[in-house]
Amino acid sequence: MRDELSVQTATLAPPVSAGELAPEEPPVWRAAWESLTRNKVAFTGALILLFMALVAIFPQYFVLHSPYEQNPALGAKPPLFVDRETGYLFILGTDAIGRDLLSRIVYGSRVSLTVGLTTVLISGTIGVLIGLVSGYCGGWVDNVLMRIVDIFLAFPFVLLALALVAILKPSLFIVIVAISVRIWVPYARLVRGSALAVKEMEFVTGAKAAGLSTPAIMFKYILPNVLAPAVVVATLSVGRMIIIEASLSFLGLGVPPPNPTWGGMLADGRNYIDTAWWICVFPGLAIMLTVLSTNLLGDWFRDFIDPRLKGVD
Amino acid sequence: MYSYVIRRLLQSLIVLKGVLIITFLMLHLTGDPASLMMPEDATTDEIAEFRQRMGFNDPLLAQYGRFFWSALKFEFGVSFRQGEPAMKLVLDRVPATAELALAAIVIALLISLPAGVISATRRNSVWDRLSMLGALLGQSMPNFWLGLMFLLIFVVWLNLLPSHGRGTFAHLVLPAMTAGLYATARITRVLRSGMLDVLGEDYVRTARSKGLRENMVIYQHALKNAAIPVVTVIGLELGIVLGGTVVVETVFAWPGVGRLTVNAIMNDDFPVVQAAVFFLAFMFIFINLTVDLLYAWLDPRISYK
Repeated sequence: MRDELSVQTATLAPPVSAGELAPEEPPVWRAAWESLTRNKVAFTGALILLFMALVAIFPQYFVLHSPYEQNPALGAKPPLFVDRETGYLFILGTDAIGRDLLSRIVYGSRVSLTVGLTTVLISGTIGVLIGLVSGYCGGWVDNVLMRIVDIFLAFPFVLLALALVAILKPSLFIVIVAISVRIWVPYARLVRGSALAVKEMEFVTGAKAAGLSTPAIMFKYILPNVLAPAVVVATLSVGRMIIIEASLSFLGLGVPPPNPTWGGMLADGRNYIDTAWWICVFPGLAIMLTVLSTNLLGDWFRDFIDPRLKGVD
Repeated sequence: MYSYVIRRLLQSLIVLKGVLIITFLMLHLTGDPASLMMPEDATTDEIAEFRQRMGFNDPLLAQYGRFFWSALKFEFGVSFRQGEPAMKLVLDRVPATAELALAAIVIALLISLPAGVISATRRNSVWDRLSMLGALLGQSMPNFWLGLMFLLIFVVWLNLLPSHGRGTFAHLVLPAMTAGLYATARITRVLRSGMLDVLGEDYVRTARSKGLRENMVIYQHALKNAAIPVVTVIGLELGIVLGGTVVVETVFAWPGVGRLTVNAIMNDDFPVVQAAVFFLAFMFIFINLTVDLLYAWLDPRISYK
């Protein structure tokens, strides 16, 4: 998780920061690291995300039980329950059919983090490309693309994703596609706006005069200068994507069971809310902690990339 | 101004047409809408008969033509499960969803206006920290989980409020607070930063130096100007709240459009799904158009852009 972000910082930030951030030009990654360690709150968020990433990559080292093993005799046991026969400890208790809640939360992190990162990467890339073409080409191309943007904007987000998952049959891949179908829109609008401004600048006119091809100008001259705000939006929206995925799973149209998902666990928990509170409390806390950490890190990243954006939502 | 109004109207019509095309194509994504709609144990013959009856054997363009003309009359066919016109089912549920969405925005304003003003005027105080922490946590939790926690605390543990359904004011409180979660968090943050900007302006200093009472300065001079971005956010959030009611209505068994649609999706009742998706998109376009025209009327410079 954190690795992903720092890769982005390292590869994407230089063109922007060159003039703005660092007059004496230390390496960008070092400036980022120093800025991050100074910001205690964001640093904590980064540590939590690093931990979450480890959990998602090596779940087997963080669990005492299988996330799939059912045991009706151990159904809906409270946190810190110890099974008398075997002596096994269930730290966060068990769900209705006796599966260990902690193991399911640990394994559930895989779906959340995968969907959160891939949807942002896919939709961000698509959105940036569309915005770039729209803003740079202008004219009827811009008109058509922006109407398409308006059309997608009009669809209620969760409902569109739900309908698509239902029609195409639930799986991890389809969930990612169904969410990405709608969320490239803000990137396209944002990048188009910046591209409109950048293409009037002198260095672009110069590049044109020098006879560079349109794709070359777009990718070499415009793209590096419009990418920063899109990357900021991307980091800030990882958390939202995790929440959307949880909503789909909660409504029964996420990654299908028996795969553990945080939203799916909450849907189970709702049925036992008056007898087993822990089933609907802990998965939600896991979502909140993860999303909170991505938001804290995203806030820091925004301020680091462009201090002028400070406090802007 | 007139040309701007006409241009925006035309744009909205184009968008509406695009929405119709996607709503139509959605069903044809798998290539065979008939087997999508029929029960899983249907025989091949039954599916073939159904395909013929629904006209799915016709060319796609002909099917779209039929769909388009019916949609213009707000007709999306008859619900497979309930035997009533799909759009009628949706429209019957609109008052419940409208009630929920409006109550959500009202609650969001009741909480976020004082929170935003106090955290800006007493910057870095305990109140400021608390409300910023609240806004951050609010933006970081799924709203349906907040709904579950409300159920756990106010229904299961304290037994204060009803757990589901619609009717009295008591039924409305928990769903509305849940649906208003993100709007509350966002408006608080936007208002705080807006107020902080405005409080540093010359006219606020002038008002203070005239010896105006601090309350007058804050509420008459500062809040009025800080409210402009807030109004924009309220317009945006209304659309988001409408879409978000899908999940909230499921948690609280609120008999609105969202719950109807989720049930229809679960039951492969596609006429209802199409009618609901189209209706919500239509509302979104309508709200946007209204807001834009309102702005143009308030600030004539916009229409010349």
